[in-house]
Amino acid sequence: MSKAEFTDDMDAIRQIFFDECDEQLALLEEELTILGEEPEDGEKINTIFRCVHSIKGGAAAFGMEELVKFSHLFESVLDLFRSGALPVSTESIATFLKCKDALFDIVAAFKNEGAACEVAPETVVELERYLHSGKGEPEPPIENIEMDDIFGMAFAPVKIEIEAPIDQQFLISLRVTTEFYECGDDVRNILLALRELGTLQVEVDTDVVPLIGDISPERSYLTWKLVLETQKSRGDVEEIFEWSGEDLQATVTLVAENIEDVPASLPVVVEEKRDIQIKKSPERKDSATVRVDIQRIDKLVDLIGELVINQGAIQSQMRRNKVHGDSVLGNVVTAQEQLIHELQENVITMRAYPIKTVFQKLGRVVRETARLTGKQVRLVLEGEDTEVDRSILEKLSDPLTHMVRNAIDHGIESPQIRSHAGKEPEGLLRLRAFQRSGRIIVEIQDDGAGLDPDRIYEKAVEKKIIERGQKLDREEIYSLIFEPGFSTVAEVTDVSGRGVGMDVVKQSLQQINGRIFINSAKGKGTTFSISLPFTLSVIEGIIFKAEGQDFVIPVNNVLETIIFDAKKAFHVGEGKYGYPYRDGYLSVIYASDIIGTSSGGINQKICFVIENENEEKLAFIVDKIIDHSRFVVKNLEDNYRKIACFSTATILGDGNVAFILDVEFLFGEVLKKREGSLEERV
Amino acid sequence: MEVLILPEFLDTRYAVPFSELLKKQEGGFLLDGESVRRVGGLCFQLLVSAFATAQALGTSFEIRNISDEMKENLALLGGNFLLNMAGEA
Repeated sequence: MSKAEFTDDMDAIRQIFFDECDEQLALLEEELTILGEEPEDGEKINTIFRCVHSIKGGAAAFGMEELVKFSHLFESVLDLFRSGALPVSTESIATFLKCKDALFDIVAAFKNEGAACEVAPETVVELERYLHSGKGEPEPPIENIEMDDIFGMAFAPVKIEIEAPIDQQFLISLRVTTEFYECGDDVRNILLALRELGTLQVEVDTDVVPLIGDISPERSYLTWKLVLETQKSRGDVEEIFEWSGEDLQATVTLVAENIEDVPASLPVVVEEKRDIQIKKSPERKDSATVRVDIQRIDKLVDLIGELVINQGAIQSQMRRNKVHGDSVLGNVVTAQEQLIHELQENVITMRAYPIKTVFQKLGRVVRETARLTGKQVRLVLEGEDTEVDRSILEKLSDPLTHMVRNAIDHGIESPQIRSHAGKEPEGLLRLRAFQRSGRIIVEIQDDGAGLDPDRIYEKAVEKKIIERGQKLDREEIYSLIFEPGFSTVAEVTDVSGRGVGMDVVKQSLQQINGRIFINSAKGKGTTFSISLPFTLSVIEGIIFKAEGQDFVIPVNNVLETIIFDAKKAFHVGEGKYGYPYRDGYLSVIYASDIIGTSSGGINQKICFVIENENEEKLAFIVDKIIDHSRFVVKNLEDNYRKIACFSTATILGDGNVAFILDVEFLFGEVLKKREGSLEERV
Repeated sequence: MEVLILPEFLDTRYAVPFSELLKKQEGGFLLDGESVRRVGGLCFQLLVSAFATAQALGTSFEIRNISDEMKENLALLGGNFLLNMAGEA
């Protein structure tokens, strides 16, 4: 193996460590949240301890000293809670959450190539107070206590007899596998951890180590025999080996209890030896999983996309050569199409992540925002296991963060105002995810003051977003908060107003084909519902012809398709047309206007009634409908450049490119027409 | 005999290049441990192998200027014999 290859491997191992840190931190957050509800659940503290212990172990292997140091301190404090020396309380859980956040920051700093990261000194002080305290809550800082002033009395030291814990002697046989090192761990960490428990004698068996000419440097050959004298229990000793799983083969034998009574040269086995390798944590579930580089999955998704396009090409050729679907070849191709469709769905599922990864990060946002605003907030997470495509998940984090900050800063009232209004001082913020009609719904619900439609209307008038007197229903007024310019610099607070308004939130969600809805009741709270597609890789759409070219319109924007009767279209102003629809009329957009190669709309015979997330409708007139199908989405910017009226493109069976329509653009065109101008045609 | 100056961290990352350097040593092993701050399991194994090779071939194995950290790490890993025998193999 060359040095370059070795470095690549180490980088890959390092990346695995960071992935594992992310998993452990997510688990930590989850368990801490549950611990808050069930503080007496001892197993939760054990799991939390194991998470921190795992991070510490891996960090030591990579020489991440700040991470080792802090996780060690945190772990030592957790040990006090685990052993029952300190009771779990709301205050201690708050400290643990701060520690989790600190661990997250240190890991992130190392991820970003070791950018310096210091833990807030007050967090360290809190931990140290727990460490040195025999009581349940942190002791006040020593410097604030005048001992002689307490009740005006002086104190004299009194000797108290305390029964000393009994030393035990354990004989440990340790074999480290090659896989152990491949995971980035090191036997040195195990020995260091054991030495911290008491007195450790180490003897290494070097018999099987090859001479230097024959040795494989990455293979593990050594075994160790260890004698550990400690006051700790067998469980404490075994814990050290637990998180290494099967990569570490350790046998712990209790040789003697109270070793002062036993001659040192004559070990007495009082208990049968137990093989650590067999022991499994009750919390750990067996799951057959393989860690795969995400780029490989992305590549697989792309390749299957190509396969779908190729399948389309075969079918196109069959039609051209008049091969019927019920022929032998036709049946084979149909069966293959079904298989490819299944394959595609399975691979897309592989790229799906539980939304938990985003929700859990928001826990910290909630804590920090609540602290900054002086509000009390209880976060409730529901549907965390709902899976979303990774590409969507990555772009969901920022808008959700902003909305959560907004909900606390502007939605939930201060404890005093809430109490005055007869509410609990603690506000409720509920994040919920679930599937509905093939889409993912994410809700951000607060029980705060709710939106005030009159205030929003006034502000929109003031900001010249609407004209005074303009008639809008309640939903239309709510949607004004998404208008550019509604949020201004004058409103910037430390928390939510960071120059990013709800218009940016909406734009971010539109980039992932998301739609947002608001439901609010004054004094009762607000619910923002975000509707997202499961994936961005495939779109269900209707392919249509306009001006001799093929285009695709997303099917979820199409309300219905009707035959267009040009005689019924009426002129309402320069370049503006209307078309009767049910009891009203719709603004008309001709596809030929958008494409810009107008033939006068002579061939335009089909009308798509399309709707956006604000439930606005318009009539979009095209020449002909070709088919309804699933299309593999190709990014325009990656392959060509951004084109205003098209969001993405797809490749058809005949090899031609069809642009996928950006429906929001059409509504923008209607707005421009209302304002009397139709500019920027493509 | 060429003196092999050991780096600060004899960790897993260094095992492959370290073995290549040790394999190139002729007539024994002369190592300088002044800078060493940490010794990991795989590099420790290579030191043990070099020591065993020196013994088998009747050549020398010596670690000069051993830092306190290296001494402590070798003791932790059960490698006191490397310290005791340094310069005596």
